[in-house]
Amino acid sequence: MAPDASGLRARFDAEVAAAGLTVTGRDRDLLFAMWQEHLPQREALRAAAVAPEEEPWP
Amino acid sequence: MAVTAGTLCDLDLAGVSEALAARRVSSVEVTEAYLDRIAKHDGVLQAYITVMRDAALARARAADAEQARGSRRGPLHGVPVALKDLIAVAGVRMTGGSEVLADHVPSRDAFVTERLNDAGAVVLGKLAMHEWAFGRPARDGRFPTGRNPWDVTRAPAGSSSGSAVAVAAGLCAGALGSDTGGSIRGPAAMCGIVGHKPTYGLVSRSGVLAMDWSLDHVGPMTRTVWDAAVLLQAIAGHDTADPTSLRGPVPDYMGGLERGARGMRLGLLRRYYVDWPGLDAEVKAAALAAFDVLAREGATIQDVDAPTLDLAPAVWTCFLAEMYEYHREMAARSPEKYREGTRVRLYMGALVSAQDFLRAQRLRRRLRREVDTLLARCDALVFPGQAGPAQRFEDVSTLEVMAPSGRYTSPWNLLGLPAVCVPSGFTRAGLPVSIQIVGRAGEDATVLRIARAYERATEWHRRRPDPASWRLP
Repeated sequence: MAPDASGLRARFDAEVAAAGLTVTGRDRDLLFAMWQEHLPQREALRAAAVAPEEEPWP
Repeated sequence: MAVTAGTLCDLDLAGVSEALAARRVSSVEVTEAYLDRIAKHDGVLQAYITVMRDAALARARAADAEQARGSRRGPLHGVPVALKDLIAVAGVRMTGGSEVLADHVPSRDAFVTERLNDAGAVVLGKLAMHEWAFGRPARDGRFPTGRNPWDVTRAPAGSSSGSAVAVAAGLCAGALGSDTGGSIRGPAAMCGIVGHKPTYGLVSRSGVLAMDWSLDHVGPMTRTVWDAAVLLQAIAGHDTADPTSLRGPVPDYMGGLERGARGMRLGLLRRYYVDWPGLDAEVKAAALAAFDVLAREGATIQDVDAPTLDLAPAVWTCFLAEMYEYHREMAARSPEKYREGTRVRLYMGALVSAQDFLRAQRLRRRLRREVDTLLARCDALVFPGQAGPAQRFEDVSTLEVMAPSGRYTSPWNLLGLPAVCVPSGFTRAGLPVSIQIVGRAGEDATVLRIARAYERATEWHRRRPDPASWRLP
């Protein structure tokens, strides 16, 4: 089930806090919009099956 | 043919070089012709941030004097070129298109600047760019990013926007740009010129402002493939100041250019690029027609695929973390000196977790393995050079993580492979379109050879935008 708007916002706020980022006002709203737009790509990245032998670049 | 100021600026770099070698014109005359054209048109086109008039004329006089003594350094001797304003020229302001660096004056030349100077080139000035190489088109402020000379109501794309505008409009004979996700190839495609992202490490990044260390490339932007090869020849080579600089001899990039496409095996990335619903119909048609030309020139073309390309934009976006690391202190100190869209994209880099970054690195390696497998049976990969033609300024989103055309360019930064965009036609509205050719690491000469084979079979590279249209509505 897709998270509701308040759940998404709470998740975003938690990530911003975890990153130690101080961003407020309009910047924070714009960042939230950009973060939301990018979320499907990030979820796809996290959902990608990676075999144990697949090491990081290079 | 008589060489006049007007015709000089319509020449490609090779034409300027030939006129200088034959002494039909002096370097001072050529330099003055470009400076006059910049003075006349750059108020609208906004390609330059800094015009180095006195320094350029001094270098031009020195080049003429040297040639008068019987010494000519090579094809760039006395040829006026220009640099994206993130490439250092000692004593000349280098802004990166940013208020943060508005008064920054480097004390040393970048490696590539030294190389161009050694080759006898005349640096005309520093070119407009998207803020820090990851901003968006801008018409306002101290550092506007340039207007597309094919339609000044449209953006030239970026981030090497000024480099593309200046070359396409004849405000220099050739330029250097930088490319982290498509910043050479994108604007080259939108402005109807050749843009080459070399193999990673082939061209030194020392003295060049960073965006993402592991994705940044410096390369040529020119009117023709030969011109790109000449500039690449001058700037390629090992530099101890760049830890990622490749060792070994620099190949000859001009010698094999005319060998043609006969016998070349080309892999068309049809599923990911040609069949993508977001691809503009006219760009698609022109690209397919271009691949037919290459087939007629003797190349064989087969459809190929690399499934992990689907994840490439997500992988690339994780590298915003590198950008954030570079900017963290500056952005915390002076956030108001960044444009809003740039600042917010920067913050996105702070939200990339260590786990996401490492997942991206693992998928990056998988993509490289898939592409290496393709390039074991193909000499190069081909596909359209862009998602669509140049956009009107008001249609460009300032708040997206990656522009749609990033799909066409960014995977090849992840892999560090040589990639060139070459003009392949025009839309009905008269906007340039292109194809892209990607080769094996270190085989820049092969992608340039294929690009040249296409170029010499077509006439697109001979078209010039009309200066009479360079007026604001």
